[in-house]
Amino acid sequence: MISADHLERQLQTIIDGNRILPPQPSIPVKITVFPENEQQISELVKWATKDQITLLPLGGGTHTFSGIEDLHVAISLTKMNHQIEHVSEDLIATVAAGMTFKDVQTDLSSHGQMIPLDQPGKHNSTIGGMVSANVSGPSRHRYGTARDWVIETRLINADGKVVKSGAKVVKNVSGYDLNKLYIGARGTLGILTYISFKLAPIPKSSVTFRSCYNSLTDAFALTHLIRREYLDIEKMVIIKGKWTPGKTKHWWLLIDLAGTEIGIEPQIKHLSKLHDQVEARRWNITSKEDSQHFWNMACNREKSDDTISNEDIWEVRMVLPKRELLPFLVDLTISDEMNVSFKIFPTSGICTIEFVGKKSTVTNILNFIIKEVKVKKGLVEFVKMPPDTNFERWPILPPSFPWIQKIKRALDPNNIFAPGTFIGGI
Amino acid sequence: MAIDSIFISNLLSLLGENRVITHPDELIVFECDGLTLHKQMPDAVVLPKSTEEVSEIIKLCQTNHTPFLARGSGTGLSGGAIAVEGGVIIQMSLLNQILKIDYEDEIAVVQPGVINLNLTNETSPDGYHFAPDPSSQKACTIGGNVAENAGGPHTLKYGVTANHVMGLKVVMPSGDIVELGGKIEEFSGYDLVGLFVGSEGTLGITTEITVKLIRNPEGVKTFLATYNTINDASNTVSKIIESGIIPAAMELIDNLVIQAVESHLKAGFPTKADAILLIEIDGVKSTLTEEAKRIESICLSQNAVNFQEAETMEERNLLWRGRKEAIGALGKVTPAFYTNDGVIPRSKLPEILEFDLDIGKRYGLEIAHICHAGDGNIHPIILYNPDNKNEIKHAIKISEAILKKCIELGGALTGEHGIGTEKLSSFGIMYSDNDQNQMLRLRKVFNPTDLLNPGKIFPEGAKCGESRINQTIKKGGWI
Repeated sequence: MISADHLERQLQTIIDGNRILPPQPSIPVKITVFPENEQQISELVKWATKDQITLLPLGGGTHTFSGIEDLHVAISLTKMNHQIEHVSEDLIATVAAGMTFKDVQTDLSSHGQMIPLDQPGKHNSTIGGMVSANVSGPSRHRYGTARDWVIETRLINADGKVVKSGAKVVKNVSGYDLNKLYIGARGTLGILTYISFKLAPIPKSSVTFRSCYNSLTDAFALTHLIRREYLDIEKMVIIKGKWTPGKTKHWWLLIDLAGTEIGIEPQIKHLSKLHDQVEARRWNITSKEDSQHFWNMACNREKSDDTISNEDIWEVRMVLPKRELLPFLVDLTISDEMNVSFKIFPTSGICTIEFVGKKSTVTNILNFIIKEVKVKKGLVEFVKMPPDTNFERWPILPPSFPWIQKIKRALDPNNIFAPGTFIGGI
Repeated sequence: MAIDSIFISNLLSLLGENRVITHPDELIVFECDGLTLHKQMPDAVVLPKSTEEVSEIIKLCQTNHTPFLARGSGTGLSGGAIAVEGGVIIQMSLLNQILKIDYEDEIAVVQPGVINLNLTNETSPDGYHFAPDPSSQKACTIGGNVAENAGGPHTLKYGVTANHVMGLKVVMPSGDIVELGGKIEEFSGYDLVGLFVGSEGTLGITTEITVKLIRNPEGVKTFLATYNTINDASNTVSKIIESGIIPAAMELIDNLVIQAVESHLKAGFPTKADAILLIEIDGVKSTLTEEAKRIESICLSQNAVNFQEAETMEERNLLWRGRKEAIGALGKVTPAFYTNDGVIPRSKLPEILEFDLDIGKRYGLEIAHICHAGDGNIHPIILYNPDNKNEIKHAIKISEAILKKCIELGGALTGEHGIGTEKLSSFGIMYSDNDQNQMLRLRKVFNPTDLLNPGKIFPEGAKCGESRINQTIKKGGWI
């Protein structure tokens, strides 16, 4: 058993004492360090390899991954937060992993450009954390995910060496695309230090359609109609419960329409007509600014209820073939007494459900979800669950899992990077 | 290990004599791909009809310590589909079925030997297409597209093959059959699909591919902008991108190519222009008129001497035919040429084009240009006389110097053709030993015996192959 004191003494030989702090209560480590450059991270990794210390790369802490047991040292990237290289005529930016997404977007927006991902949580999500967790939100309808936008990474590997993958160009087949491996690897293959993105232009004009429905089937009806039409839809989400600021018992569909200043007008008329064809309780059009509160709620940027104990919250994210999602959700038998919230990306086959309740009340439905999604060759992740439960965070292992294990062993042979925190306990 | 009669008889027992080729007269077709610079005859070519047969072939090769690789139509331009150490080529052309088209999930499941354009032709009447559109799309296979992460003119807006592949069935070099990804939009665990796409057939052999189908746009507008200097044309590219417009395609073509195209098929390219930009926008009709005006304004502000829109579908098709058949047209005006595939940040386009022209003059060789300009993917085409050994040497030196310059400008060695055997000697310019070691660790995970497609991508794996490569160049290839 290695004590925090011992770790602190060792760390002081590598990094300034004032860059070493006790961990935040929610982070499962003994101590946290805040390196400021690649050289320091490299030294930390070499030390960890030599002394068999386990490391947890850490961004803003929006997504923290608990392992089988506590890890030794969290490496917070939040002090590597000042470097951005933006070439607007190339639509490319390189960003230090510890920069907050919000700061980066603010910088880029002054040039009319953006990284087209959605900020999860409040304002402290870092670029490195978002890429490591491969987070996505309502914008994935149009823009996809980080794997469509990351073009180059720098990573400190298990040898403590800086390794580069890709280049600051939008098209590149030079060698293996390791960026794809690092995106969504949750820090288990190394520590990302710099990430280059393709950027997207911010649409000249956009409006939000908000509509409200009695049933999920009614809400989906509009999304099915839209698929047969030609519309520049930038974002789309169906929400119910805590993720909506309106009546929480109804289903809400939010759609951002984007376009040029003149060109958006016919689209607004077109989408309005489609709204008239479905069974919406009501719908309206607002400016992007007026609807910001809705989008913030849908992206967890505003908490809707702080009174519920974390011990009662089960947040399950699932990905299904698109055609399977609606029938699957309709078939879910959820008791009226259960406190449930939904967030659905209908055109991506993705749904997050939050249950609030004791284990005894939710176990059956959670087991049903796992069983059914497995049959449909989908994916399930428990984003949140109370401590000491019997559910695996990723209860469905893919057929390629033995190869995933081999990759982990090859790139992290001493198992120092976030061991036990990812799929199948790797 | 050399192939012996027992090994051949095992292949014959598995596949029958119609699907095993060993006669040198028939093997010669497989001695090179679109890069005729590098040649090596395989010892045998086999044509499997199922995933299981691919697996059995691989197991036989492993037992006999025989190198093997998969091959589609052989349109690649980097030597990726040649058997540099001899051995067996697994020709995928009989695995050529579109297995499923599902418009509700917007996906198709295809075998690797399906021709790229066939999938688009099959889905077009229903309003869909397969987005990667390399110029070889009439001939190249989707399996080859996956191996090379193929691009094409319209990848500027729609992305490369990696952005359109959701799942793969792969036969690993061990013979194991594994499904990666699937019909859902996210992967569980590491993104092995992303790793396999573009790995140049060195990690496994794909036998089924699940791809996204993209809805055809409501409207399309195609423009031809004419310039008196190539510099003005290349400056226009980053001005358009910076303005916030991402065209579907933005191709730059220089005067040498214009002349060749016009003498070949009269596409309507202005023969006196130093360069033209072929620009296409697509999407919702109501936005296109406004975007078209902005693009015209930018082109004129960058000294375009003419800006015209294709008024009919026939005019549009003819312009694109001119672009896609440009390489074939060049073949009629020069005995041989060598195509480069460097990439630079698009704002560096004027700089790299100036460098190309200078270095061409220095070595006394002409260089033509067809660029996926919007992507920063240049295709300098070095014209030379194949009977002149000095010119061959100079063509290779020019290409290497251009790649080095691309790296100096912050770019990459290849945008869509791959490293193959062609760019082995340049790989170290872009990636340090540490970078390469990280990749090699992965290669070892999947391909520990190095029998699958050896001598590709990594310089150290190519030692045996390089000595067997013939230093001759012939014309040909798609870009």
